Amino acid sequence: MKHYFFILIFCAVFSISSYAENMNVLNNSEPQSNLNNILQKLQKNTVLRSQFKQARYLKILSKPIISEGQLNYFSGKGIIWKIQTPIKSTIIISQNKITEINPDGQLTSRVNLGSIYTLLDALFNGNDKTLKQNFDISYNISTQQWILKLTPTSAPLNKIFKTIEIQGQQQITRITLIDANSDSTVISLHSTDTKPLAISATEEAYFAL
Amino acid sequence: MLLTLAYLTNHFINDIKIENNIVKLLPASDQQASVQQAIKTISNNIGRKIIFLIGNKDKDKALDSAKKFHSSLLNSNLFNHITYAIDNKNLKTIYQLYLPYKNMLLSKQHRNLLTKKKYELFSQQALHSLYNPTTLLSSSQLENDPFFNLIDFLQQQNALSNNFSLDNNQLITHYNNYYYVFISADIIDDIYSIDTQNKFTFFYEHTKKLVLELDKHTQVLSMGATHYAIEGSSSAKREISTIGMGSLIGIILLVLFVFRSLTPLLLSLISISSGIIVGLSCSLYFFGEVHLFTLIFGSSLIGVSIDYSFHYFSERLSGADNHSTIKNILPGISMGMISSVLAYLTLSTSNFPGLQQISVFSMSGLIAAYCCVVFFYPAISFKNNTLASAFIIAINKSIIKWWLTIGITKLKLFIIFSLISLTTFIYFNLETDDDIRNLRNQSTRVTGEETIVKNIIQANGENQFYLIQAESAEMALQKEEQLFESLDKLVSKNALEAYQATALFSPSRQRQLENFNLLKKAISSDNPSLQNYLKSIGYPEKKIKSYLTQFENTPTTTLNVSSWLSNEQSSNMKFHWLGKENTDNIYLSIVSLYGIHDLNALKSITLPEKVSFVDYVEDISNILKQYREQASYLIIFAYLLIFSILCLRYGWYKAIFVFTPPLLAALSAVAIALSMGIKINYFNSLAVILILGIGIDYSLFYAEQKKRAEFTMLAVLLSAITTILAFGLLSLSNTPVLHSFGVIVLCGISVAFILSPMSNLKANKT
Repeated sequence: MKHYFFILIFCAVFSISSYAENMNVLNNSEPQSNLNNILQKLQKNTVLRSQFKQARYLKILSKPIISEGQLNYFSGKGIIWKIQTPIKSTIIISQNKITEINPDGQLTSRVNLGSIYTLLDALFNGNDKTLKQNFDISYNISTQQWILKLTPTSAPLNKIFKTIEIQGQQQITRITLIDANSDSTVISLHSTDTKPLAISATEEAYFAL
Repeated sequence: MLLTLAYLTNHFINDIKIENNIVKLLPASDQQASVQQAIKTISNNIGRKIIFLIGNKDKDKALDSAKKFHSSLLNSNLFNHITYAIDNKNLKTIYQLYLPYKNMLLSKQHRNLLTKKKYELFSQQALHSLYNPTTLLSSSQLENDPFFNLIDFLQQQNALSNNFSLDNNQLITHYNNYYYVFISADIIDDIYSIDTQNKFTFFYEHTKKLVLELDKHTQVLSMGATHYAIEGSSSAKREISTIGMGSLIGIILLVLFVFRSLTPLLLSLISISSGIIVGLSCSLYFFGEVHLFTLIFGSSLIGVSIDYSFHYFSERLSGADNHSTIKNILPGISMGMISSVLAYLTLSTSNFPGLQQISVFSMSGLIAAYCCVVFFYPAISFKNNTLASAFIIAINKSIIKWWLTIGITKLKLFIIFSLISLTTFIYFNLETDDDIRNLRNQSTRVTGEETIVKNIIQANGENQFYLIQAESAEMALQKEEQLFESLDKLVSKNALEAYQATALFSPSRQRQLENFNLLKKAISSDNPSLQNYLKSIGYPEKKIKSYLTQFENTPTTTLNVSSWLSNEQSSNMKFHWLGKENTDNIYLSIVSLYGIHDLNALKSITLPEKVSFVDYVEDISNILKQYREQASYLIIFAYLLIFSILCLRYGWYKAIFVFTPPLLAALSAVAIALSMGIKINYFNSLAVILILGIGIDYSLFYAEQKKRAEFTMLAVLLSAITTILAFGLLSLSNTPVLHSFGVIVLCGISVAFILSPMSNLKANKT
């Protein structure tokens, strides 16, 4: 259950590509060519490297929980989520498990209950069926940026999230998740790059943990 | 006869239960009743489980196929406890169950940290969970569980989960380019009942077809004891019918060829069928079921019970009328029947249910066939046709003549030499193997599929487990927790991968209160780590206070095992808790084991009182060993018994010559089997009894024959051919135990047949 959050982020992020056709049907008056360009570029992302800033707004807490770091996505392998501030921690999310490496080198592994990986990979390859089953989608495209608004329609997602908003220009810049109980999370991505394309030896070793 | 038929028909209508669970053949082990019951319950629970994997290279197709499979599964009414989709409701109910006890539940790691007062690390871990993007956070969750101890406790329960992940609420994995959807279920009825097996096979084949209609590239894989049960039943059916049909066809052809008349054929069939019908009825009457092994052993009865008929017809060929025929053969076949029955009777004196069944089946069947020949045959008159038999009779005559030329000294020397050489050979080459796993029919189809499924789901459940006995539920849980400490050490030494038990889901009251006190100590200690953490994340003062007040009073209620058991989410783990379902008035539970790498390490840990390590497979193998030894004594006893009866009738000198053929037959059969690399186990040692039972008949027929040995030889030849035919076919069986059984009987009967004429020749000369 814990992992739906992450599933969703990445469903959202990487499914945009698969929505190219779908959106054209939804709204013919939009500048499709721009969107198509963006999506096609996203679709080519077999490796994605980006700086992130995650802010969690929990009603109970007097301030947001903010962390920054680097995100690396490798199609077919998984995600390395490296938190650099305020704590240091590396979280490796792969098909089968989630492994966390603390700064003292301590490893904690657990089974990935809500594996994002199979889902994510399928989405990345343009399989939009899963999203269609789970979300109502509306969107807004201007020349500067585009915004996708996903409303979950099926349980358990609709119990957890009210809406998920994805903003982007060339690449995705911002993901906003609003919980059913009004807590929210904003993840901003910048300096997104698709290079270096190859996975490094260190990164490879992470997935072998 | 009519009565037995009626009884049998009634039984057939109500579905005869053919047991093929080898374990059922075995006596209850020496362990106490409660342990036996635990083993029975566990093997029942595990036996019912069946896993299906629906795979396709295309994930959506896999999901669609699984959906179709699942709906067919539901409609079949064959299964319960179906695991397919896991929805939010399920997760919520389990969270709701534990929530009231949130301050009393700690994961192993958290317990460790708190016991060692590593409060700084404990708080740091909470902080890490807070920043981890894979943590599902909400205000209410954080309010309930700011240190994530409940979440961690729940996480730990999933430690055993395989490499499946939740996708679209379904358990799915990616393996070798295929997406597999996981479905598991329990079969409601007894998997060893033929009726259930037929229903399951129909369901499985039908549903497979439905799924393949969607996409022919879909893979449907399955694993479970049911498949072995079905494979066992069907191969048994095949083998019984091969042996049965083989001997029947042999008998029909032989009778037609030798006696050239339909009446002997019909009469033979009547005596065979009465033997089988009576044997089956008696087994069903006494045991309520027929074990597969009984049937296989019993189908050889066809070959034995026909012997009486052959003697009748052969004797009749010599020109006697019905009445004098019976008079002439009566001593021979009576002695034969009595000695065979005695041989089987020794089997029934063992406390082995399997043996008892075999002996009851064989004794009653033989007596029925005997009665049929003695009382029914003389009433039927028919004409002899001597054309074909004349040729055989002529050959027989010359063989008998050859036997007569052998000098008595030569014969004695031959007997002594064979006895010594065979005994020496067996003594030096005897190899035994009592491992029950080697008895099972290792169908490559079933085991192959099982290996694939195991690879995909990465399950490595073991046969061994720890059994906990206690006076109360609380005590049982406490003992489990004591055991966990030793097991954790084994896990860290990699002697074991994991274990699973009730106390992991529902800790003892003692443990819950301990946990509560650990948390209380941590939050109120001089070390400010925990409170600092709360402050640093912006947890409001008011909430910190209310969190602290929860620890002011020691809780009166703790989570108890029955509320865990009644939660539907426990269904998969319920089998660990056997509770007080036994007569001994004690609570039983088990700790199941996964991925054993060092069995001895598991055996040698110090166990809490009344906790035992149960190695079911090894136990059975030990029992088998014990019974093999017991069987060898019984066999020796049976031979001695028969020998003394022979002495009574013939005097010791002639008795030796009557007794030698079956004895040498048994020894040479064992010697040949050993030289073929067959290892002696409990089951094939029973073949030696059969050699005695059948072989002694051949000798007796010669010994009792009055005038013309060539007609006796005809009868013995015919019965040997049919018996050899039956067991020759059995030796082709895929099931190792049946194969070795067949080989031993085949060799033994051949030798017994060749040597049997000696029983008369010497008698004639003395």
